[in-house]
Amino acid sequence: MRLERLGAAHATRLSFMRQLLRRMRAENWSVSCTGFDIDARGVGTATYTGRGPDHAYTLVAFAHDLPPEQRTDRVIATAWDATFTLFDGVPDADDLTRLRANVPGQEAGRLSGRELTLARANRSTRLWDHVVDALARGQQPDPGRVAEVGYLMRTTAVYGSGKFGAADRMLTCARPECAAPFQLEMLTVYLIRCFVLDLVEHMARMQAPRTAVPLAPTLRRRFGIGNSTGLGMAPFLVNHPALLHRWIAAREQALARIRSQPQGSEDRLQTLRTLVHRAARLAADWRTGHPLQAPRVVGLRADLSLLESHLSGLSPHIRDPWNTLWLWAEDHLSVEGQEQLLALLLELYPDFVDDLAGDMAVDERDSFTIDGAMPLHDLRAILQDVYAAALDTDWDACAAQARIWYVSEAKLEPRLGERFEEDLDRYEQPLDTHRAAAALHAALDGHPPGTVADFLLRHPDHRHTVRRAQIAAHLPYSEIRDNTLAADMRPIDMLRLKLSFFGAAHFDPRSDRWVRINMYQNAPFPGELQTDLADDWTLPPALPRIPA
Amino acid sequence: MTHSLNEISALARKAARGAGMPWGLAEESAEATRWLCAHRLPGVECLASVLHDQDRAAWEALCPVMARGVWSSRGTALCPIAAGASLSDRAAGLAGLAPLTLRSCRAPLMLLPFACETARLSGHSIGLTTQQFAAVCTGNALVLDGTFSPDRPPADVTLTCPAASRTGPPVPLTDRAAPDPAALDVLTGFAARLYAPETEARRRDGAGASGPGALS
Repeated sequence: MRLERLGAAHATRLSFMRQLLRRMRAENWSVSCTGFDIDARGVGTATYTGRGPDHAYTLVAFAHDLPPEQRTDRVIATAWDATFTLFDGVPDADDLTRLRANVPGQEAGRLSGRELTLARANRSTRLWDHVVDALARGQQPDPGRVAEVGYLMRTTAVYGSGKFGAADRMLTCARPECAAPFQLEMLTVYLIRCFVLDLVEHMARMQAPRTAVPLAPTLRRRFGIGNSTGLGMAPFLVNHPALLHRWIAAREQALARIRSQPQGSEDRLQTLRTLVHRAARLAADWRTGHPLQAPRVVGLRADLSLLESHLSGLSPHIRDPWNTLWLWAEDHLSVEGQEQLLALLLELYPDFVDDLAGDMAVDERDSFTIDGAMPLHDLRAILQDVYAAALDTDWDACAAQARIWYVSEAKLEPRLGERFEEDLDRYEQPLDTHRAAAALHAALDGHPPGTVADFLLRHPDHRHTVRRAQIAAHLPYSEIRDNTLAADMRPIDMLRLKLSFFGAAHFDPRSDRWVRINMYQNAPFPGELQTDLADDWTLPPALPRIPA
Repeated sequence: MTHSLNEISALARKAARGAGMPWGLAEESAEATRWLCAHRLPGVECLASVLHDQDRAAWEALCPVMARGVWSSRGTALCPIAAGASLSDRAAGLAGLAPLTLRSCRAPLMLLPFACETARLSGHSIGLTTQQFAAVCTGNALVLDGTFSPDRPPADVTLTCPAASRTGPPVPLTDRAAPDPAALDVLTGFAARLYAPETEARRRDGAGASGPGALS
């Protein structure tokens, strides 16, 4: 996969949020607010427990009174509007005392093996005060303003997998509800959404107890949880090649199954037409001011309009209808449009897609050990196949190595620098996949025939790259087929791929390395999981057709 | 205070790199340290001792010189990570290598994860014996007798394949680590070498514009 396509990815029904909500509905999960002790300033503690068939998980939320000048989404922040942890089970008073001493400090605190995730969120100052004031006056907030922002709080990090002392994934990955990737992180954000909506209604009641009203259910669902993502997430796809392969392979296999259907039907074609119409409504609502993304959204709207016309004239009875449609899309739609179509096609055939969701997790230790017996000519062949573009790159050109990935001593914030403008070489992180492959290929030139073991005994510097190449040989989607050091490389393309697999929407880049998104917008709240909304919330409803 | 195995592994990788190992060997160090901690062995302490002794040493001084039946070092002692990685790289030809003496190996406990992985790949059990301990390594279990203090001088290690059988229960696993704080500090110190000093320009430009005052 290339960054151009990864950077245009749309969430599909394989996404981790969708998987979580399907499970919660199928297993009849309950979510209850088990504690809400927050004062008129919005400071205090709340707990929300989600119960599945075998386990309970409790979001412990701490609300703070954050001075506005301290509000930042950056890793270097030291205070937030709200801080959270997901507790494995139901915490007792001692747990809450311990968590109160550690969670608000985030990276400066410590978690135990009973905590599963650590997160924090900041308010949308644009929307928070407006919603509180409107509800306090007994009115609903302005839907236009709600649509413009889409969330009341946005998370700026959701940590799991053993970070800061939390439980390792291996403690929970055997539980069915945790088998798919990032389920605990997705559950954390889902419960944060419950808390945030309760909190804003609570603040309105505190402000004006006699006149305050809650949000109307339809408008309430219009609030997701935002997320502000930067360079901290960008290396993930490079550092987890086996996992990336599984995600892409699942979606590619789903698409292949659908494209290989020898025939369609009037019903399915009509469903697709409706989905395209709904996607067009979503695109109409997609707001971004970013000079790179804004034209792409305009292009997407045009693509969907073109797709609507094309589908209106299509017969349901042609052979290989979806493959024919896909090939048409490759010729007529932008990459954004193609990726949106892919997501819609997957919606047509849940029976062909949902079982693939079970194949998206991986134990990365299975692909860690190097095959030392591999003959060097095989290694050379892998490099020439997987990294052909790297071998064709002129690495002496400044533009090829313009960027350098490093970590700052300032709170270990990941950063991207300009190699030739700063002296950062000795701090370089190993994210230079293409350059390293080219260097390995050059080192193999003239090396006597032998095995990888022989080569690595003399050239230990290439061990990391040999490992990557061997992974890529049997997991072909594991390697991004682009130069991650290039002057025109956009980290947001990497962020978007991962976020689309989370299930995020409304990608709103703020630079080439920061993106805002929305999670769970329009999703049902826990009490609504047994409705049709549970797996059909990612697109706005179709507008009723007005008879001619 | 306990630690997750993931954070131990992440710290070990950074520390090994900070001490001058190439990234690929830093990754091996991380996995070996994690494995030892999971087996309730002093992985962090061993790695701290190894990195302290061979900080920024050249590969030529650490890597095994392979003669028939003996691996030794050109320097003061064999690096267990270099020796262990070289061993698992040669898993396919293990039967031809054993019996093998690894001369003067630092923190020989760190060979155990590599021996178990090599046993898994080759399908044969491996015995590792030093003055301190005797181990039987198979692909899915470790049987171990002896004492495991990480700060002993380098020792000769005898590798046999297949291992002489040994009775005893396999080492039970744990999912949390409780390393010695001083050893953690050593690793943290090495890891800090990887972080670029802060400057106003780097703070402003390195992460992109989303500081206070940015649109929220």
